[in-house]
Amino acid sequence: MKPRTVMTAVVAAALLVVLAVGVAFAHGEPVIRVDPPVVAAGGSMTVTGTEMEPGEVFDLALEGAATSVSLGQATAEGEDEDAGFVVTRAIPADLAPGSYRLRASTEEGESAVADLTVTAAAAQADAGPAMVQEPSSEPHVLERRKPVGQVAAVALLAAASAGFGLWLIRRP
Amino acid sequence: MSTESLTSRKNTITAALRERLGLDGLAYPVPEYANSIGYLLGGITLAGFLILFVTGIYLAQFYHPHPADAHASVVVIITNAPIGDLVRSVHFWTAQIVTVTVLLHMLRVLTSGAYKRPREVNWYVGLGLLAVTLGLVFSGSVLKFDQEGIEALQHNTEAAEVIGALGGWFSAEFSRTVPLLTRLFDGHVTILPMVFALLIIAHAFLVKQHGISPKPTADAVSRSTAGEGSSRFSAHVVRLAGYGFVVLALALLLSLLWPAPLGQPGVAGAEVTKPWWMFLWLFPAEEAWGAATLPVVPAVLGVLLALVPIVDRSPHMSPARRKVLLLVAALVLLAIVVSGVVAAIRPVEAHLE
Repeated sequence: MKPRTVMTAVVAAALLVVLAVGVAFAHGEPVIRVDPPVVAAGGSMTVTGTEMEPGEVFDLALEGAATSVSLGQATAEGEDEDAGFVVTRAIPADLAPGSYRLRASTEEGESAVADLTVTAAAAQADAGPAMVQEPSSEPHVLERRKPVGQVAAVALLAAASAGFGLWLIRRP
Repeated sequence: MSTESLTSRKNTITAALRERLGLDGLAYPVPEYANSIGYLLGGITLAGFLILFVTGIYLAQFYHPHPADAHASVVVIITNAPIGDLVRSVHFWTAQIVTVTVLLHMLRVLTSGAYKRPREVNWYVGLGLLAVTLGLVFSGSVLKFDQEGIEALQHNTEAAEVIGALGGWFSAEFSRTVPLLTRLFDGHVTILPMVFALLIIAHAFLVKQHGISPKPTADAVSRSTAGEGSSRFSAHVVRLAGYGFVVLALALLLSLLWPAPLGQPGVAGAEVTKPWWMFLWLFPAEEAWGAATLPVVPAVLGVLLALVPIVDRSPHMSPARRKVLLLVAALVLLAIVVSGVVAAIRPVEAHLE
C-alpha cells in the first residue's frame, strides 16, 4: 500500500472516531436555565432543569469571584430522561453585583451551570439610574482624550517607524 | 577620532558580531522573488506577532482574568495604566492586521500551488497556525468581557456543548474552581502562544529544508529549491523587518485615530451585539441551522483545506492548470464574503438557546 493511501486512511479513520466520540458524548447531560438571566440582588429567579433522571437531587449554588452561596436543593421529577424541575429562588439582598454561575450538582458528580448577572439591590438601584445594568451594544463611554504632547509623540513614533521600515525595504 | 578610524571600528564590531552570532549562516541563497510582498506575507504576520507578544505582556500586568473584575480591569488599562489605552489599541489593531495577512498568506500559498509535494506537511503546519491565530483572536475578543465578549463566550459554550466531550475544555463544567474566562485567558497567554511557537519553528524549518516554492509559471513544477536563488535570506529578513516596522506604524496610526473599542459590561443571557468581522460570516449559517454550525462549518472548511494537497496531486503549479480547485476555492471564499456582508447588514438577532 502506498504511503499516501495509508495516510489518507488514517486521516479518514481519525475523523470517524472524532465524530463518533463527539456524538456519543453530546447527549445525556443535565441542563439548567435561569430566567431572567439578569436579577437584582434581593430579587428572585426561576431555575429550570431538564434532561435529568427522575428523583435526582441537585444542590443549587451561586458561584461568584470569591463566594459561593447555597440556594438549597431541587429534585427532578418526570419520566425517563425527560425529568426535570422548575423552582424559584431568591437572590440574597447583600450579594455583590457581578457575573455569577448558578451550578446544579448531584452527589454523583453530575452538574450543570448557567450564567447569571446580579445587579445592585433594588433599593440601591433606586438611588441612581446607572445601578441597573441592561444589555447594550453601545460603547463604554470613557475619557480617552490624550494630551497633545502624547498624540504628537505617538504620531512621531509612527512616522519614524514607517520611515525606518521603508528604508529597510528599499535597501539594495 | 577620524572618519576612517570610526569606519574601521564599526567594521571590526560588525565582524565580531557576525562571527559570535553566526550571522553568516543566515546568508544562504533564496530566490529574488522571495523578497516580493506576496512571498513576505508569512514573515509580515510573524513580525506582527512579535508586536502582539510585547504589547500582550504589558497588558497582562493590568488585566484581571476573572468574570467579576475583567471588564473593570480593562477600564483601568484604558484610563489609568501608563499608555495603557495606546498599548491596548496597538494590540487590537495589530491583531486585525495579522488576521488579514495570515489569510492573504494562505490564499497566496493556495493560488501559487505552494502546498504541493514536498511541502504538504508545511501546508498542514500552516493550517495549524491559522487555527491558533483565530483561537488567539477569539479568546482575545472574549477577555475584555464587555457585552460582545460575553456573547462570544456564550456562543463558545454553546458550540462546546454541540461537540460533546471534545468541547469539554471550553465548557464551564471542566473546572469547578476556575471560571471559563480565566481558563480562556490562560489559553490566550500560555497554551496558544506555546503551540504557536512550536508550529512556527516547524514552519520555518520546513521552509528552510524545501526552499521557497517555485514561481507558478506556465510550466513550473513543484520541487525542492533549497540552496537556489540569487538573493540572500539575510536580505529577506531585513526586508521583512522593514515591513514589520510599517505594520507597527500602521497600528500606531490606527490606534490614534480609532482607539480599540470597549463595550458596556457584559450581561449574561442577552444577545444584542455582533462579533468581530472574522467570525461574523458564521451568523447566517447559525441562524439557519442552529448552534451546531459554530463548530461544524469551520471544521468542514478545515477538512476541505486539509484535503487540498491530497486532491490536487499533480506537480503543476500554474493556476491555469488547477482551474477546478481554484474555482471551488473561489466559490467557497465568495460564499464566506457574501455571508459576512449579509450578517453585517442585517440587524442583530438572538441565536442562543
